[in-house]
Amino acid sequence: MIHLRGVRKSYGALQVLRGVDLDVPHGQTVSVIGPSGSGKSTLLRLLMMLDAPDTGELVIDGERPWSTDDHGRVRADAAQLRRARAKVGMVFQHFNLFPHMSVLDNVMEAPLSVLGLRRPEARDRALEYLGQVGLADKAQAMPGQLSGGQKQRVAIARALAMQPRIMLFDEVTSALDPELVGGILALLRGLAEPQDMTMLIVTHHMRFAERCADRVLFFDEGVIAEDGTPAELFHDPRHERTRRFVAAVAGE
Amino acid sequence: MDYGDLAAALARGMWVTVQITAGAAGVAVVAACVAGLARSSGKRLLRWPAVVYVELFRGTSALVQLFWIYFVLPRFGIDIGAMTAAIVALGLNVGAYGAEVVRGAIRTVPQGQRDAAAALSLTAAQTLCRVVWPQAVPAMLPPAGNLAIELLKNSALVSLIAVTELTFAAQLARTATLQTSQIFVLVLLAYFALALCITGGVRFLEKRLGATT
Repeated sequence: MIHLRGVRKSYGALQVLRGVDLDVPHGQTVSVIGPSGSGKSTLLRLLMMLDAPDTGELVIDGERPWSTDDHGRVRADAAQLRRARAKVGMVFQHFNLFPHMSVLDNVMEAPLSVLGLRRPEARDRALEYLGQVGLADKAQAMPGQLSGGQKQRVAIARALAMQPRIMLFDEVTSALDPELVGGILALLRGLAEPQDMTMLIVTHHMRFAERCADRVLFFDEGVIAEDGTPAELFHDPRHERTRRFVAAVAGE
Repeated sequence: MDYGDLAAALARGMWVTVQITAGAAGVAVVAACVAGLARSSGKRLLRWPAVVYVELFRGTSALVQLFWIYFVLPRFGIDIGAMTAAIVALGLNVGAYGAEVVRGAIRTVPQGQRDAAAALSLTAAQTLCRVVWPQAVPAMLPPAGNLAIELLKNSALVSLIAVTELTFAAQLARTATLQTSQIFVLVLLAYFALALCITGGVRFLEKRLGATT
């Protein structure tokens, strides 16, 4: 489903990813943990194809959105990029709802203009997913009238409405008040259970990462420093730096 | 020339000023949107013609531009008449400033909005039309209102290519009647009233477009 080989990415002089190899089979739920600046969010941006890797191979469900030309420059293959993007959904730390559209229109926009659904179908679909995140009654509200937790639920419904095969969650609880975090994590747990979607969840909540994921990646200094089951990573890590990170975060 | 004639002459001039301002505003909006979007584009081939246009028309005086279009272009076979020349020259001049307003407003839309649109597989055109543009327009309105008032006042320049707009009509009336102070009080009030109309119109648009956010 996801296949990365030797993926590197720099922003200016800053090397964020220094060679990432990763294979994720369909249906797996993967937690991504690690210190800030270790490359977790960059990994998600590359998987969403918001940025192109500098070098390396990225295959999403058989599609290769980037190719390298004779001069070593990375170029987008427009058709494959479009197909690959349609298979992936992403939820952002700061929600990124469209503030000028109602909640319903936020969720309907892509099914209408990308999938070409008719209005009534798009509306039904949007209401279905808004119902799933518990916000069907807020369909007519504007994003500005919602709490942070509600905004993030809308953002999740908006991504789900495209029925992606892969969902990426980039620190989706970090901008929320503490009392709202639990609800969002419960929602993610509900999404992970049926195993019909591949999920990558960047999070600082170690208990959540431990309980809900099939697999945990520990990022450090732009590489996957450790990759294993939650039990291995949290209770029997192979590397000293994993042990130190887990201990430090657990102590918070 | 009695007072009735005087008022009629000034009213005719005022009407010409309104036509020039409205026409030039139309030209300016189109030029500003095209150049502002081109300048915001990632493609160099779109960006640099816009840069040339903006810098050329901001960097030279509106009066010289007007003279060029009215006196010089006819020598190359392009003779569009005084009224059209006035509208085109003023429109292109204000449009260059407007392009910067458009570009600035587009930049105020956070990158996260574009990321979200890309994550939903919206195309570049859809992202612009459905996500970026509707959020950028409210930010354009206050500076656009300033430019429109600026344009109204600059329209007096076209008296120098013998278009009988408000200021030129006042000059003619003054020569005919020597009622200098009365005439210029009227002219002052006329410009002020027109500027108030523009301010009111912009406020109205701000309220309508601002209510949704």
